[in-house]
Amino acid sequence: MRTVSFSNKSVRKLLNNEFVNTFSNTTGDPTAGKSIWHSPDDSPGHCERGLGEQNVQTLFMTPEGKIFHAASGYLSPDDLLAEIRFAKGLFVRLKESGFGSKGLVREAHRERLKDLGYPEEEIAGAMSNDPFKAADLVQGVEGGSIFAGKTKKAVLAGNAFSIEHPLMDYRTFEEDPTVLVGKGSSAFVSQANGNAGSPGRTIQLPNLNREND
Amino acid sequence: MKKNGKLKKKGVACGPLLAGAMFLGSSLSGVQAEEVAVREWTSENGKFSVRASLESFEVIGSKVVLRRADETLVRVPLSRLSEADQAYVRDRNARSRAAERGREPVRLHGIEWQPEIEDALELAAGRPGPLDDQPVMWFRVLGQLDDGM
Repeated sequence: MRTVSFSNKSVRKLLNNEFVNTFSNTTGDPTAGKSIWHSPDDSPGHCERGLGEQNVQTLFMTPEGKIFHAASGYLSPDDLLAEIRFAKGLFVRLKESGFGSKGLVREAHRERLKDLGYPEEEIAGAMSNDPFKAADLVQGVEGGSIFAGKTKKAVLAGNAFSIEHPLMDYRTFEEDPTVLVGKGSSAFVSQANGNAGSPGRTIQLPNLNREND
Repeated sequence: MKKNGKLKKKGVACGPLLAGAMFLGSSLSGVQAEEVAVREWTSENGKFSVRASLESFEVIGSKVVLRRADETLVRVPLSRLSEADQAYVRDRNARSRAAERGREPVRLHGIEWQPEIEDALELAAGRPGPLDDQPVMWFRVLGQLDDGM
């Protein structure tokens, strides 16, 4: 994801000029996913947004370390640009409100989900701990594609996280990222080098022959 | 407004803001500025200004030490400077502290990254800009940022 997502000039310009950027290596985190090792210069394969939600997360915080927006999984350059622009706009509104308005964060994400076409019951289902209320978003997606369904679910989960946990302290998030990424497992393999593996990290995912994180 | 680095108030020599500050306590836990760029400094009410470089920032007491063009030093409470100047000092201080800790920002994939979240937050709280405060983008990834995975 690093190479592809940050390849957009507008993304780089916005991040360098209007954000302070930092990163964490989640290797060893029990909630982190797995990845078959591949070189950064492997040719990227096709990848849908939201895949590998446990391998990569993009979070936006206030200077006090309060998370006001999050997206999990792979983001294409256009997807990342949209997330950055949304985060920037929400940050400006938060600053005007003194950074304390959880209601503003909730409402901004609820509006966003509605704008994206998510019905109320799906939003409510995403925020519910009841697994029987969580919507199976594979259905209703054009062609019934499992990856399109996963994308839809990842977008929903990212925004629902901010509705349910507005302005969560980043240290609290670090202790339990499952509030965003869930408790499943995710993995990526490289299209060009999918059979390579570093010791102890090789897994078999024959149906997930997709781009690295 | 300014002349030869001396503080002026619209034609009237006036320097209570900075001159008074010179007699405050000595440097405590000072952090040296990492650059000596001469720039215009303005008081919080916008009435006074001076051309000077940032000599150091005293964290305890929150005082800024400026070196004027005539090499004299003046010590000013951070709160008496304009918002933009305060942001500049915080930014330089955050960068200086990060450098002291051996945590220089890295540039990867065309983006500048702070290696530690604490450094990013500190920098975000004081980066100069139209909004002063900046949002932080935190990228959590399995593996090194510049490595295969």
